[in-house]
Parts: sequence; C-alpha cells; structure tokens
Amino acid sequence: MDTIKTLLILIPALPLAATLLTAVLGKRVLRRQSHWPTVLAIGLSCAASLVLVFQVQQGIHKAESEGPSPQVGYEKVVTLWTWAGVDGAYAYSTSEPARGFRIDVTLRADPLTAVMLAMVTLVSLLVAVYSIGYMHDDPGYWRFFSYIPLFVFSMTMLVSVSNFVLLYVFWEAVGLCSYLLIGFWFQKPAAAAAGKKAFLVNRIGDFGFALGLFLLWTTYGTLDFHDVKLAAGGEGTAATVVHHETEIVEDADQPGLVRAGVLGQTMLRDRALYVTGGVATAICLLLMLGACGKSAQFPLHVWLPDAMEGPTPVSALIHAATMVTAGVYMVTRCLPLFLASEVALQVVAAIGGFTALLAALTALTQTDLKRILAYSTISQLGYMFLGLGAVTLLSAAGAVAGMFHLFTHAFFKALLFLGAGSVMHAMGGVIDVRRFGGLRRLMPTTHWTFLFGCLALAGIVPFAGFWSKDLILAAVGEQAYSHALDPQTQRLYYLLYIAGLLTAFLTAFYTFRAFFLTFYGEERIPREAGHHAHESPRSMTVPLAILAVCALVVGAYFELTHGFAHFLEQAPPLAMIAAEQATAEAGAGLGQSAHQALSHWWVAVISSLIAAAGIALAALLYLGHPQRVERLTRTLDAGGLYRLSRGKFFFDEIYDLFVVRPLQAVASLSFLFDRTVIDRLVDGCGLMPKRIGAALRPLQNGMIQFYALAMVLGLLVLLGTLLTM
Amino acid sequence: MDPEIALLHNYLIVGAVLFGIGMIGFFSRRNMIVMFLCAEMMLQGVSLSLVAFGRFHNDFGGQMLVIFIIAVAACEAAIALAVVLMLYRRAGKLDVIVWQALREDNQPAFEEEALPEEPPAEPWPSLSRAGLSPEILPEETDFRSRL
Amino acid sequence: MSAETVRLLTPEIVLIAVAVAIFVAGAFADAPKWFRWIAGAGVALSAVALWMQHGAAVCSGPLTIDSLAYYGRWLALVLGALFVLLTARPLAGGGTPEYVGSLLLAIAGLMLVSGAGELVLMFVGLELISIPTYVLLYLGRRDAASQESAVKYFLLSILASAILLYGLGFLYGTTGSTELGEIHAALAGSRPALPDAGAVPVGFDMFARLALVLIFAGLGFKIAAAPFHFYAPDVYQGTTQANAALLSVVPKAAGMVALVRILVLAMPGLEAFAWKLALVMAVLTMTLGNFMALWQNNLRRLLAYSSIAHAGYMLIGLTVGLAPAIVRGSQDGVGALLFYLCVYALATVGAFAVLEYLGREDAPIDAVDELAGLGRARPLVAAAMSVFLFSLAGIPLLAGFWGKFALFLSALGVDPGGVSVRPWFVGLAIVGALNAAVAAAYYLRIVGVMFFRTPLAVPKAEGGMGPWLTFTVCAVLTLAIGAFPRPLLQAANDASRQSSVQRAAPDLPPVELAGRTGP
Repeated sequence: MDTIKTLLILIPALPLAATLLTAVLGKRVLRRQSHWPTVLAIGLSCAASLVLVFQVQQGIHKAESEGPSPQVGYEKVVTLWTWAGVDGAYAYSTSEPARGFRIDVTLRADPLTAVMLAMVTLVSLLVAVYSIGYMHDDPGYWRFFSYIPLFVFSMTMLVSVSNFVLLYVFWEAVGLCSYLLIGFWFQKPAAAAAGKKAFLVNRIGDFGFALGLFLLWTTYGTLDFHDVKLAAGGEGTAATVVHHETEIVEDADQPGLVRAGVLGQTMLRDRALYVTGGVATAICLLLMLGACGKSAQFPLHVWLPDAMEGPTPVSALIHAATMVTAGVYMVTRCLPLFLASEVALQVVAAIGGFTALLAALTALTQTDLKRILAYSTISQLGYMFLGLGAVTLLSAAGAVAGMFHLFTHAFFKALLFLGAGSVMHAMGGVIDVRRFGGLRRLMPTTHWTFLFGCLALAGIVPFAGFWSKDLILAAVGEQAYSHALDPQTQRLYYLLYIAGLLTAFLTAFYTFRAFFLTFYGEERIPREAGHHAHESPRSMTVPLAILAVCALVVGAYFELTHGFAHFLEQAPPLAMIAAEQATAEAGAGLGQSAHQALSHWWVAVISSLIAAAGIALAALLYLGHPQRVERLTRTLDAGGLYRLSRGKFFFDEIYDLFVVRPLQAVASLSFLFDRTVIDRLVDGCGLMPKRIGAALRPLQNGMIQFYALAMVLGLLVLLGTLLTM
Repeated sequence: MDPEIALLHNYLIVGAVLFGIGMIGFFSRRNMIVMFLCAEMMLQGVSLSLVAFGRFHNDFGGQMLVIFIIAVAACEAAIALAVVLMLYRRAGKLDVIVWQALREDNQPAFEEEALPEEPPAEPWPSLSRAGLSPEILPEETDFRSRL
Repeated sequence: MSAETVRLLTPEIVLIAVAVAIFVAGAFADAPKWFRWIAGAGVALSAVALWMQHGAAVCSGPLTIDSLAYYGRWLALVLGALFVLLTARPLAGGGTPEYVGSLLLAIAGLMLVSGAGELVLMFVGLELISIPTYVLLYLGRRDAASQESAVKYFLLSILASAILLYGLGFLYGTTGSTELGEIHAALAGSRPALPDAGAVPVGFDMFARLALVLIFAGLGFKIAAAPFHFYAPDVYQGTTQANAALLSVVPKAAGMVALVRILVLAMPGLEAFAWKLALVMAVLTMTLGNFMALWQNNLRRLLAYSSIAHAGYMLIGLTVGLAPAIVRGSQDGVGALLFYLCVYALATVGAFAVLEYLGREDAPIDAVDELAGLGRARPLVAAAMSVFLFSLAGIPLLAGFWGKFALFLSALGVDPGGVSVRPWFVGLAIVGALNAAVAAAYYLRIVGVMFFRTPLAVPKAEGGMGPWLTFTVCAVLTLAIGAFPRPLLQAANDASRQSSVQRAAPDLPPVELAGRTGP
C-alpha cells in the first residue's frame, strides 16, 4: 500500500471513527471530554492532508522531471471496492454491446483535491478547538462533537471521491450534517425552521443536480471521473478494474482497454469527445442548479442567512468556509464539461456577478452581525462563480482565481465568524450591532483579529482577500476587453466587471460598518451579558490568532511565489486548459499569453482605491455623528432603496407569495381530496370483504343436513355446467 | 341392443337410484342411525355400479373394490354405532338436530316449529256404572299398601 | 403382490404394526406415557425403512413409488413426528393407546395415498386416514362440543366418501381398470377402453367428466375446498388443538396428492375443462375462506377458515397443473402446490402447537383476545406465533412468501400458446394476490392483539415440552425455508416433474372373467 492510498483512506476514516466513538461513548462516558476524539482525529487528518499536498507536489515534480508525459495534469486514482454494479445497464449504440453500471468506491489525489482537503481539515481543526470554549456549557456537547467529525468525514469524502454518484452521496451527506447542525438547538423554533428551510431549498438544487447526473449517464454511459481499465473481455462483460490501484499513466498506451471517464484522461486529451450544444448546456445548467443550492447563489440563496441560527462555529465551518464552497469545487471539477458550452459559462458568470452585487447590497443595512457576514459569504461565493465563469479555453486564470479566492476566503471568513462568535459569547448571545458598541477595550484580541479579517475581506494590501479578489477582477476584466469575443458577450463581461468593482466598494463599506459599530463608539453592553462581559478563553482566541495570521499571509505568500497557481494548474481540469493554451500559442506563435500581458497593476490600484473609499465612507458615517447616518437613511428611504436592502430585497416574501402559498393551496386541496374521496374509496374497498363475509355467514348454521345439502347442490351445479360444456 | 350393454344399463340405473335414495334419505332423516344407513345405501349403489362395470369390462378390479368397500363400511359401521351410542347417552336422543351448537356465533339456533295443538279427543261413549262396588277388606288394603 | 411390493411397503407396514401393537398392549398395560415413546420409535423406524429403500422410481403391484411418493411419504413422516410430539400429554379420560395408534394409522394412510398407483389402494389409504380420524376426534376431549364435531365430521365424511367412490366407479367404468397407468392409457387412447368395439353404453362419453367432477368433489371434502368445506370451521372449533392441526394438514395433504395423482397424472384428455373446474374452485375457496375468517373470534375457527383459504391457494397450482400441457410456464404448478403444502403444514401445525402450549388441560385457548399481551408476557412464544402467522400471510422472507410466490409465478407463467387462456390465469394470480392482502388483515389482527394489547390474564402455558418442541421446530423450519427456499422448492418441483403413472413394464394381460356369458 503506498503512501497516497494510505493518506486518502486515513483522511476521511479518522473523523468517521471519531464520530462513531463520540456517538457511542459521548453521552455516558466522555461527557465534557467529548471533544478529544474529534480534535485528535481532525488534527491527524489535517497532518495527513498536508503530507498529501507534499506527496502530490512530489508526484508533479517527478512527472515533470521525467519529461513530457501523456497525462494531462496529475492525478492518482485508488479504487477500494465496488459498491454496486448492474450488468448491461447502458446501450451506447446498437452496434456496441451494452455497458455495465458500476459504482466503484474510488478516491483520487490531484492538486484540486489536495488543496480542498488541506483547507477543509485545517479550518475544521481550528473551529473544533474553538468550539471547546464556545460550546462548553451546552447540554448537547457530545452531540455537537459527534456531528462535527461526521461533517468533516463527509466533506473530505466529497472532495476526494472520483465518481459522480458518490459525489452526490456525500453532497447529500454534508447537506444532512448542515441540517443537523443548523437545527442543533432544535428546541428553538427559529432554529428548527431554519434547518427545514435549508433542507428544502437545497432539495431544489439537489433535484437539478440529480437530473444533471441522469443526463450525464445517458450521454456518456459512465459516471466515473477517471478512466477505468477493463478486463480483457471488453465492454460487454462485467467491467472489472484489473488492479485495485489504477494509475492512469500506465494504461494510456492501451486505449482499447480503457473506458473513458467523464473527466478522465482520454476525454481530457481529446476534447472533441465531449458532447456540445444543447445537451452540454443542459447538463451544465442542471449541475449549476445544484451548485446554486449548495453554495447559496441566486435564486436559491435564501437559506444561508437563516442558517445562522446554528451555533457560530458551525456557521464558520459549514456555512462560510467549507460546505458552501462545495458548489465552487464541483463546478471547477466539471470545467471540461462547462467549456463545452459557452452559454453555461456565461450563466455561471452572470449568476456569480449578480449574486455578489445583490448580497452586498443586502448586507449594507443588516443589523445582525452574523447575517451581515452571511450575506458577505453569499457575495464572496458569487465572486468565485464570477471567476469560474470567466474561464475560457485559452485561460484558466478565472478558475485559478476562483479557487484561490475560495482558499483565502475560507480563512478570513472563518476568522470573521469566529470573531463574531467571540463577541456573541461575551455579549450573552446578543448579536444585534445596534445593542452593543465600543468593545475594543473590553475584547482586544477579538478586536485585532476581527480587524485583520475585515481588512482581508475588504481587499486591502497585503491581506489575503486583496490578492484573490484582484485576480478574479483581472480575469473578468480580461474577458471584458478581450477581442476574441463577440460584442454582446463582451458587454456582458463588462457589466459583470463593473458589478465586481461595485461589490468591492460595498464590501469594504459594510464590513467596516459592522466593525465600527461593534468595536468603536461609546461602550455599550447589553443586559444579557451581565457584569462579567470579558474576553473569550484561550481555546477561542488561539484559533482566532492563527486564522488572523493566515488572513494576513496566505494571499501574499502564495501569490508572490505563484505556488498556489502552479500547483493548482496541475489539476486535470485546469491542466487541460493549459494544454489547449500551449497548443494555441504554439500555433499562433505568440510569445506571451494575453493574461500574462496584463500584469493587472491598474486593476489592483483601482480596486484598492475603491476599497479604501468604502472604508473611508464607513468611517465618515459611523465614527462621526449618528445624525449623519440618519439623514442619509431618510434620504435613501424616500427612494425606497433603504427599505429594499433592509428587507433583503423581499426574496423570502416573494417566494412565500409565489411558491409557498400556491403550493400550500394545492397541498390542502389534495389533502381534502385524499380525505373525502380516496380515503372513502379505500375504506369502502377494505370493508367489502367483511360485508361479503357477513352475507355468507348464515351458510354456516351448524346443521349437518344443511351442510350435506349444500355440498350436494354445489356438486350438482358443477356437474350440470361441466356436462353441458 | 347388445344384451351386455342392456344388462349394464339396468344395473347402473338401479345403482344410481340406490345412490339417489340414499342421498335423499341422508338429507331428510334426522335419526342418526338412519342417516348412517342411508349413507350405506349410497355405498351399495356405488358397489352395484362397480360390479356391473366389472362384468362389462370383464375385469376383477371392480369386484375387488366392492369387497374393500364392504370391509370399510363395516369398520365405519362399528365406529358409527359406538359414536352414536355415546351421543345418545349424552343427549338422550338420536335426533341429529341436537348437535348444532357449533356454528357462526351470530346465527340463531334452529328451532323446531311447534306442532299445532291437537284438538282434545272426543270422549268415548261410556256406560253408566252398574251394580255395587265390591267391598274391600281393610287388612287387604293394608297388605297392598305394603306391597 | 410380490416380495418387492412388500419391501416397498415396509415403512407403512412398520407404522401399522406398531399401531396394532399399541392397540393390543393398551388393553393390558396402563402406561400411557410409554405409548408416545413407542409411537415415536415407530415413526423413526419407519423413517429408517423409508430411507433405506430410496432409489429410482419403481412400480410394483398397486404401488407407484416415484419422487412424488417419496415427497408425500417424507412429509407424512415429518408430520407424524410433529404430531407425536404435539400430543405428548396423556389424555385426561384414558384412551391414550387408542389415540396414539389411530394417529400412526392416519400417517400410514397418508403414506399409502402418496405411493398408491391404483384406485383400490388409494381408496383404502384415504379411508385409513378417515376412520382413525373419527376415533381421534371422539377421543380428543369428552365434552359435548367435541362429540358434536366428531359426529359432524363422521357423517359428512362418509357422504363425501360415497361421492368419491361413485367417481372412482365411473372412472373404472370408463377405462375398465383400477390401475392408474391403465386408466391413463385408456383415456389417452393408446389402449381400447371398451371390451367390444361398437357396443357403447349410453352416456359413455360423459363418464370421464362425471368421474372428474365426482372425484374432485369427494377429494374436495378432504382438502376443505368450497363448497365442500362446511364441516371444517365447526369441527375445528369443537375439537382439540392437536386434532385441529391434524385435520388441517393430513387429509389436506392426502387429498392434494390424490388429486395430483388422479386428475393431473392419470386423466389426460380433459384439458378443456378440468382446469376451469379447478379455477372456479380455487377462486371460490380462497375468497370464501378469507372473507369468512375476517369475522372470527375463535382461534381454531379462524384457523379453519384460513386452512380453507390456503386450500384455495393450493388449487391455483392444481389449476396450472391441469392446464393443457402446451401452455405451461417455467414454474411448475404442481411443484408450487407441493411446496406450498409443506410450507402451509409447518406454519399451521406450529400455530396450533403454540395454542396447545399456551392452554391448560381443562381450559384451552379459544378466543383471539386470550392472546392479548402475549408479546410482553411470553415474548418468545409470541415471536414464534408471529412467524407462523406472517408465514401464512405470505410476508416476504418467510417460507409462506416463497410458497405464494411460486404459486402466483406458476399462474403468471402460463403462456398463451395460441389459446386465449392466459387472461384467466393472470386473473387467477390477481385474485390470489388480493386474497393474500385480505388475509393479512386477520393474521395481523392476531399479531396486533399479541403485541399491542394489555393482557387480560397471562396464559398458564401448561402445554409442556412436547408442544414447545413442536412449535420451535416448526418456527425454525419456517425461517430456514424462508431464508433458503431452494432445496425444498427443488424437491417439490422434482416430485412434480419426475412423477408419472406410466408403467415401465407392461402388466399381465387381463384375466378372462370365467362366468361371463352372453344371453
């Protein structure tokens, strides 16, 4: 068993073991010590993930040193066992024998997975440590620490499986964890309702996702990402993986014996194998619908703000850093599919840009600190999709930027949420920014770390958010000024570029609005906090500090060393674009690619200026006289703009009016029909045998002679009919 | 007509009549012993047919079956009489109507229709008493009373 | 009759000899406990004899010992062992040796019917079941209800016997032989049925059909098929649990095997209507049984109706078996019937054994309500009872499910084959499935009473080891067959496919009847 396989198994297996251990022993044995299995397991997983990153890195170096390889990017696929299989399930064409449907439990190691694993386990570890302090009095302590590793297990599996079916399974599994954790305080009606809402809205997205998978299956006849080696019998026999460890490099010479996976090497090498046109668009849009649900994009974004009813560490981990980025991960993973349909990419970009702006506008006027952060999460996720939508066949910069933003965002958004949690912890559960203020002296560590997070989110040099947001804007801007596109598309990207810049301004403004309201001004402490409002314990501040350092350095470090981009570009979906790009450049004889020509210095300057302007405006309004804010509010309210933003653009009300109520009406009609018509019919049918039985009972009157007579009469009837037949 | 066939017909008809009489008797009689005898009569009808068929086919099988039927009927008769005797001891009647307690629990019991009341019989004409009654000695009555 | 015949009859002879020995010894010895052991030893000895003679199918004298015969005889011996266990308690008012001996005789009768290749032997076998059964019914208990059930069964049974005999008489009259092989040959037309060509009795062409209906009616009484089922509820209700178990299994098995032997194997040429008769009886029987069972409160009466309904299910298999040969599907109808017979027997005997175990000598379990709360008071017994009821209801993964599955599959497998009979069989399967759904209502009601009602009074459970062992064995077998139905189903299908009434060697020419003269 080689290292990579061991690591791939260990990373999800340890949290799963922790879940089982805590679930079994937590209530009676571990009690207040329930966090130990979780923290240990996630810590080991995190270490394993980091080792995996280096292993992958080494693999890439090794492949590079061996000269040009036929493999697109770097990937290693490990098949553990076959979960299910149906022979002859799919007939590709009449000439070809039917293919089997197989679900192999297969894990993969490639740069994309490695980055996600490292990010997920690291953030999870910090959040788990933070939760020790945050949850310490909760009666459901052990329950919390059995859900968290379950989530980590599901999330690590989600990013490391190599099959759409399993992706869907764990997609649902993280959704389940999210549901369980949003409703963690299920006694609270708002929390229970929020959990239900999240679940239902996600169902819509998952329905689209499932349809997308069906369409993929009927189109390509497989749901594996990777190529599968077949037994010598070929397609007709039940496909068996020859070796349980498949390194695709080895069988590249035998194309006849390989079944091309949807995202496998065969398809990546020859892009003409991808279906184009309407089918491709349909597949991509359905997958995007799934991503919209999970990553809270318009029009399915309404669940995320409500999900803040869950414990704050959960909000930080699941609803800011990791789970909500699953949609971004999935779209990145499926980029080869999206590249087959230009429309789909434009839709991705448009949804991303629109959601980013919409959420930023909503965040301006919210008063709940966690809600502000939730809308900012939606907005930043929109940025990521915007970046992904700016990918072209010739440039993977958008995708790299999107993933980079995902990576940096995980740190500073987790930091902000944990900071908000720290404030909430000290304020006795109060989270309304209007009810407290001037906390900077009371909670210095929280104040400073929160500031780092705000600066990173606003995109100020040299914080992490600056670098990644800048890259996205640059990629979109490049599309907007690209001459390869038709004018209409160019106009779309131009608009999206403007939206991105505007969002950057708004982000800086609302972030610092929240920051100033919380930590500056006159010191106010709500009644609920009591007299001992204090800085949070060490277990909470240490993760905050670590995250703050990350928020400061990860962006600059990886951008200046180009480490992240180089590493990620070896992921098969992105490597395919790089390969295309190399071919195109060789053909056109261009010395420098377009995206390198733009060194973005002016984009950086503009966005920095805009962010600074946002912060300045926030300082002007919220550090000065409150009357100024009131006057501005009144002016804006005259136009209805303020109310629109305050009311979250009334999405909940609109959905309630146009979706929920009509459905409820139909449901109550069906209920009425069921009760009055169907139930009566069923009851009637059920009673019929009894009625008939009652009618027959007089036959059984106990008299021997009657019985004899009945027997003989029956006999005579049978005789009569048979003899005349 | 072939005399063999005519013979067969005759016996079959007699057999069927015996079978039918037995069956009707079985329905209509309420004395358990008579019911059993009716069933025996049905068996005799079958036996007669079998013997006739055996002769017609020139085969022993029918007669063999008849002998077994007779043997089995004898066994049944033994058991029947034993059972009927025990039932008679319990109920004091041979009427089969007595045995109808086991039935569907919502069904009424069969009640025998009461026979119409017979009109009181006309008194027979009687002669008026003539002569004297003999005198009975007291010791004579004492003696009788002791008997 | 030859040495070979005697050798083949050894198991039956052993049983009958042991029975006679018990009868004789009973007159002198007063050791009621020992008679059980002797009977058990007799059954075991008989099983050894049966085991030793296993071999290829043979016909000898009146016997046809083929795989159907072996299936029936083994079933009889297993049932015999179960009944000896079930009745392990000496009778209250004496008569134990007579009871045990009669039990062995009834089992021997079932074995004879299974192996009979000749009408006389078959009739004797059937009577060897009936006559001891009268004694058993009388001896079971000495109250009025028990005696009433004895006289009811007795009188109606001899009426049915007469009808059956009349049918056998007509069968003999049509073919001129009591040998099933000869009968088959005559009806198939390969042997002249009439002694003289040209001399045809009036109505001769009707005789075969007449025989069919009369035999069906006579055996219909044994299997409790409507409209010949009337005795069953009253008799079961009046008698003991063990007797009810015996009545619901042994005559039914004998009747089914005899129906298969005579109607399916020995009476060709009646394809046009034989299956219609069986179909009508099947539908009538299962529907009536299930519908009436819905109303019952007395457990034995309920199980009596249930046994009627199950006879209806089994008739589905017979219907398929009687269907014209060209339209048979993959699952053999008769095979399904034989499989179902075994599965049904185990569940029914088990259910009665549970009742026997729970009851007291003087106060047997009668009403459904007496089982209330059994799930809490005696969870293991309640679980075993649930296994039997679920199996009877045909809940998946229990033996009964596979039985119904095989039956419905055989009905659905009937292929059109140019004849438009398929809708009838599909309809039959649908009626069967609907009936199974109705039946679930009353089985589940008992389960519900056992598990979801508070107990009125905890049953004393004074049945002792014998009934306990019986229902445990039945439950284990029911579960085992549910988990691995294949071996038994295979055996049943083999019993159906490899059985016939054809003789391997030609018989002696018919003997000239000496006294025959023409007028």
